[in-house]
Amino acid sequence: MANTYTKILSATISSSGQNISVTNIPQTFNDLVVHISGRTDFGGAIGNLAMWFNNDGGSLYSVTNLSGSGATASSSRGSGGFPQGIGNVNSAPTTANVYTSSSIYIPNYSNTSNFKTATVETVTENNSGTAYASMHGFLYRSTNAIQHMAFNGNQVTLGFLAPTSLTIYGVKTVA
Amino acid sequence: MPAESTYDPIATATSTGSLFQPSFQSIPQTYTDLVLVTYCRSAQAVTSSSMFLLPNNDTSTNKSCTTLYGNGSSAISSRFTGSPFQFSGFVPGASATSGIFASSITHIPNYSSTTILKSMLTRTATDLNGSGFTSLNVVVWPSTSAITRLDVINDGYNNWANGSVFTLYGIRAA
Repeated sequence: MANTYTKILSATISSSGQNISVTNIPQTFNDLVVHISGRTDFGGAIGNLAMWFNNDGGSLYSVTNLSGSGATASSSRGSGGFPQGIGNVNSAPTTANVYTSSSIYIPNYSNTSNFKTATVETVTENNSGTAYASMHGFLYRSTNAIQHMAFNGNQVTLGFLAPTSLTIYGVKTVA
Repeated sequence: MPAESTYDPIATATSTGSLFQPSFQSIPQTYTDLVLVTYCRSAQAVTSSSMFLLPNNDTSTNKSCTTLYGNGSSAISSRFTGSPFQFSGFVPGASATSGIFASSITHIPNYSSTTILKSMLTRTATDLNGSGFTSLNVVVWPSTSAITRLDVINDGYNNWANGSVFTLYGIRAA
């Protein structure tokens, strides 16, 4: 049987401070799966991983967050602003060589009739200070197919530390 | 030699707006785990509706559910027992903003076992732009029967809206 879970792209940033931007995403799959191993060059205690699509910078994004800090569980919401975060990410001052893991699932990303939604899980355990495990319901209110994805290590102004890496898989519903 | 596929689509169901409740029947017993991926919206005339997974069309009141969800202001955990249908996540209803669909991923490990009871773990994203939920839900079906059928039920047996897509995958361990 043909492989229906296919790696589209795997990339590792070569120098710190870079964002991650993926263009020309094939429209031949049904769903996208993204895995990120990331760490931001943000100088604060912890960064905020941000995701946006198609270079759209408007108020098209909203997110519902569910997070645990090791002490308490909480929920918050982001809407109306750009970009929207999809979880905390380990920052430069945190324990060396610890990278945040994020898993993103985007079903029906190429449809042009309805909005796009993503399920995201992010973990930032660092074997030291406060850390987080979180889930995020991410909404992109556009009927455009997702052809371009971008990520940043702390909202839109800061990038990642090397060797932050990303892999995108395409999933087909027909073999 | 090409790599053997270990993540196979078993079936896909897409709503075209008429009466529609996806029912995956005669599920092959040749995989190790099942994964159900949904992109869906309810036709129920509410802002937020619910999704239920029904194995083997067993409507007896034997299932239980533990849920952890966030509503944008609080994290909440609940447990439910004694119902034919147990909660597997929130979905937008017909009164939600047009075009918004929920996404969910459900893992059902060891679904073909005739020894263990079955659990179904679902992660759901239901942001509605100013309201909505993110949830993690586990449903236990206390049966040793292999899962050969899986129905995706909307609250009150309402239809799934036009454009809803449901795909069942099989995962092989080897």
